[in-house]
Amino acid sequence: MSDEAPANSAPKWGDFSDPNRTTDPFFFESMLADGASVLGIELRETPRALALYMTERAAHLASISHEPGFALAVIAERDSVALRAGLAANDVARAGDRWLLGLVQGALSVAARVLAT
Amino acid sequence: MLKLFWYVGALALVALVALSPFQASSCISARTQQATLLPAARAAWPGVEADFIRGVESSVAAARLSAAAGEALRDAGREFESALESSNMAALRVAPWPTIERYAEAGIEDRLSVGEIGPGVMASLLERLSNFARTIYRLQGAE
Repeated sequence: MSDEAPANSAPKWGDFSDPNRTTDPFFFESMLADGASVLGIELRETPRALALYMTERAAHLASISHEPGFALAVIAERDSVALRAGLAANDVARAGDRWLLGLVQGALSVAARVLAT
Repeated sequence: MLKLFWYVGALALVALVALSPFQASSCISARTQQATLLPAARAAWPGVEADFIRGVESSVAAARLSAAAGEALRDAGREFESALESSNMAALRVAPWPTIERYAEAGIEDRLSVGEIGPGVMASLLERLSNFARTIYRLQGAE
């Protein structure tokens, strides 16, 4: 992962319009950093560390997309990211946490699908 | 002699003043830790709980566990959930997490053995269990 992404190509957080971008660690990093900043959420690990972890988990998901129970794996990987990031998504959690966690799950699913094809 | 007492007293005061920021920051850190770890643990618990219940049920079905022991384990799971939901740190610290973890793992293995999930999905469920365990150990002050 490069230190700096070109300014004109920085993805907007939560923007999945170009699915191929979701396989780029910078996409995850930008999504987490911007999302946390906008929503006022404090992450337990740096966006970069979490992005690298998400990239690794998305690659794993891509390799098992044909397996039975794949949907369970996506939820489990989302939970793993939540546990590392300190995000919550249950009924009593803040709306911002739920929103960002939804983005994490979406990004993992899209990235896994793109990597698998 | 009076001078000696004065010096000792002054040293104790200096030590107290010097240490108090560390004590305060450690309290804040523990509180921050609880504030971020507990909600994440609550969010991930339903998935871990499903694996745990599955492990208890499959162990009872295979006669590796008596029905009474299975019910006692389910109670332990409910108490663990209640401690998580109510942020009861005292109850969480004494919760039988290693036992819950063991049966959650057994549940994941059972899902694989009946073909409900594949080995890669099993790895994802185990990864969540491992992250969840790390979070609980942190909350219990073991890490």
